Amino acid sequence: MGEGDLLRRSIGRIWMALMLALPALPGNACPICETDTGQQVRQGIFDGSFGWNVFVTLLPFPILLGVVLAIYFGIPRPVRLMGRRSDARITAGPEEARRPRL
Amino acid sequence: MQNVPNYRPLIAAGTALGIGLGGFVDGILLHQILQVHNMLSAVRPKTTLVNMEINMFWDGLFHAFTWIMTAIGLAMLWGAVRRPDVPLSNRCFAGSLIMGWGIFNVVEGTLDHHVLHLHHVVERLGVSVFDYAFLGASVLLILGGWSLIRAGMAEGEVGAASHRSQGRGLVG
Repeated sequence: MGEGDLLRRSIGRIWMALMLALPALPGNACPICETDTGQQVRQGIFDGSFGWNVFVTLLPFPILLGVVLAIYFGIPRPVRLMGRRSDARITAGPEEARRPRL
Repeated sequence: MQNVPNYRPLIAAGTALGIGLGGFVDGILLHQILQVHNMLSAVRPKTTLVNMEINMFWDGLFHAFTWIMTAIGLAMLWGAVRRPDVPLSNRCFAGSLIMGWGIFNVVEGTLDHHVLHLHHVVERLGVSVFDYAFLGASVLLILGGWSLIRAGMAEGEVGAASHRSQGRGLVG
């Protein structure tokens, strides 16, 4: 890799980092930083139940992701049935092999 | 084995996208436009500005993960359309989107409305007929989506032979 390529790549990475940082700029407005109301909001968010609230708020997502993965990979079946199914796919005749999966 | 149509990647991608987009319907229409159904509104009633802003924070966290689910769905869809064994069935994809929306509502509604009591559809009523209607409508979405998927797969089976000869299964 030439020096010019290295320089171009470095500039590209710095540019990309700046572009990614830009959307975070409005965070400087920070409505929960300065005012009395803001401080009450911050205390209300980061109180003793913060961890529990994070847990219950995000709880649906692993379940939903599990559903998507179950659709993608199929629901695990007992070994005997899995064996039958995979054997069928390997040894099936042309018509059976073309049957849509799912 | 490339001729064996595999619908799973398309249906999984559509479901993930449906879950994400369904979450955005929930967030944009219910939380923001109609201002009901906010994340912790049963725990932090929206009777003060402070509690409204706290709910806004938890809504935001929920929607950030909804966004991630949508991004996962997009990535899965990209993977699916690049596979030669995945028939690009319009009906299967549309059905998956609808089914994903229903699945999102059922999981969210069951957990947040009925098990954890974080919020309800109409907060001042608590658990009410609206929460059950929400679940009922969601089950209908799942059933409607599933029947559309089945129709797309059946149509794909009929048309597979002709499409296969053209190299790619693009079916209705």
